[in-house]
Amino acid sequence: MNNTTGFLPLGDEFSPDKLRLARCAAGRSLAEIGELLGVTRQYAHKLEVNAIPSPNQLERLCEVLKVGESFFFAPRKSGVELEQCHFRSVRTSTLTLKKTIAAQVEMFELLVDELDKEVAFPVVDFAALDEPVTGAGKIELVAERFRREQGLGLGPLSSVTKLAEKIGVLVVNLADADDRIDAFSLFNKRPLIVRNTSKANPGRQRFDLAHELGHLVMHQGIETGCRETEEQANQFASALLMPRASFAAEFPTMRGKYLNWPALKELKLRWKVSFKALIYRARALDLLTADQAKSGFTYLARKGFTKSEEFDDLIPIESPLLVQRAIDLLDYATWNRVLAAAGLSTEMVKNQFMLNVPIAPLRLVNSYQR
Amino acid sequence: MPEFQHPSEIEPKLSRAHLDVVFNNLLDAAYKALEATSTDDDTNWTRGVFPYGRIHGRFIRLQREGDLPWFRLVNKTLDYTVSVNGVLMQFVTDDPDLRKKGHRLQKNQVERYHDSLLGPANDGNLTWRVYVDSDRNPDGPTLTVSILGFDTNRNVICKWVHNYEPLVSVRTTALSPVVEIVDSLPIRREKDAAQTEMKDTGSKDE
Repeated sequence: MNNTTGFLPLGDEFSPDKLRLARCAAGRSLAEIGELLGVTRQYAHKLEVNAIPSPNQLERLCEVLKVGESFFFAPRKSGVELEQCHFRSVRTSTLTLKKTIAAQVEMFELLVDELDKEVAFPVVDFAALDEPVTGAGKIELVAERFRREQGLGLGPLSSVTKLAEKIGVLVVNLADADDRIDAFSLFNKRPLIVRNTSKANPGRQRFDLAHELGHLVMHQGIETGCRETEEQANQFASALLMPRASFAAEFPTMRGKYLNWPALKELKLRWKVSFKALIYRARALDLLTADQAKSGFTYLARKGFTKSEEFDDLIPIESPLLVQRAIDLLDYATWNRVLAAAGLSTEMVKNQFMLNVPIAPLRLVNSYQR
Repeated sequence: MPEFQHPSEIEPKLSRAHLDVVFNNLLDAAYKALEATSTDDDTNWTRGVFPYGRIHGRFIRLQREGDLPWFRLVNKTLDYTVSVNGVLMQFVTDDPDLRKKGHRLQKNQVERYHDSLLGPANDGNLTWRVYVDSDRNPDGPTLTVSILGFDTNRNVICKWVHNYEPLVSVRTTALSPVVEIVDSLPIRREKDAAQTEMKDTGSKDE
């Protein structure tokens, strides 16, 4: 906006699409926006079609939607469609919530685009499958090939997050991606995995990431979310985290009809997965019979180990570092330029994307305050 | 508190390293016995006596193999007694805190003969008993091994619970090493370098 005239800048066009994007990312309804601007819901809708907001309305929109003015004056480039996202069909996740998260991811991509001009991220270094895979046996081979291509050997992975970042996948925390949405991934400009930030179980966090890597490797251009694709991603995650050759050799024998829980604890801590994942994997590899696996699950359920398990506190929680490191490389002025070009606000980056931003080395002090 | 003292504090011959070897072997044999007695045909009696017998068998094997010069099975009968560095101890399947088998505190013939060689009873002549107890968890019992030292008045002057470390917790001993994934570091783009390059190209054209 021109400070002298109070009019919108000449030549730059207000983008109604960007308003819709920002509104969705903020999880606001048209009615709410209308109320906040003091206009009708119909007019709020019109703003997302062809109307242009007044300078005051624009200022209010920036404040409410936590974006900069420049955000609305750049055309929307490539949108993130829900079909592109590998969401799990979690019963509690509503379409609105999915749309909100997808919009937030699109805004995160705007930030990454601008960051990419200043900082080079690792190149995307994994081969996605061209054809759909079928059968657990084939998925086993896909996971083994993935390990081989990445030179991972057969041992437990020290960090799945670091592995994802190493092969060029950006892992991001979104404050709104809680239990209602679960982790999800998409491959738009750059592969991206959004973590569920509320899970306290480090084994499950790792499994979620491996599951999303499975989608990125196996399900390019395939709409996911159905039982079959989710099962495939689970099988990939299992096989990636616990390769059959080494895992089968290490899985403890039964103590008669009992599972050897002390040895399973050692296995859990070594492979950094949940007891549940261990038992599933052992069942899939025929190391346990259906009855033995069932008795194991019953034992875990009886102990109340559903969302979190015993000894979880002995496994470190993984955190994404790559994007934060990229931001840390920038000085304050460059960061501000990046932020302005993306049209985002510091508040959004800090609160929604859970990233720390550079701090101004100097602070403005008004002379009359002395 | 004497109860929290390791036996080696009272009897230096009962070193941690030696007791750990004996007790880990004991538990290994006992757990394997529990596996074997978890069929539908097993009863409390088989579950009780089988581990006791297997522990006996393990000690016979240790003695036969002869890899532990400080270990001897000095009494091979049902009240089997081992010697660790010359200190005798019997084994009881009972709760160490609520001991039902009081008679097992009585010294057997071997222990009495041993004491007679040491001379008149004094505070150094303790009776050592190792208690093997189960929590009877239906999902897989956990066994604990406690060593108790009794004085001549049968007062417990030492009690120590062994911390079990499975001899081989997994099927294989050659474990695949953990794959250490290195940190990925983004690199600051060198824009100035590109500009300089362009300027250089320009000057060449002139």
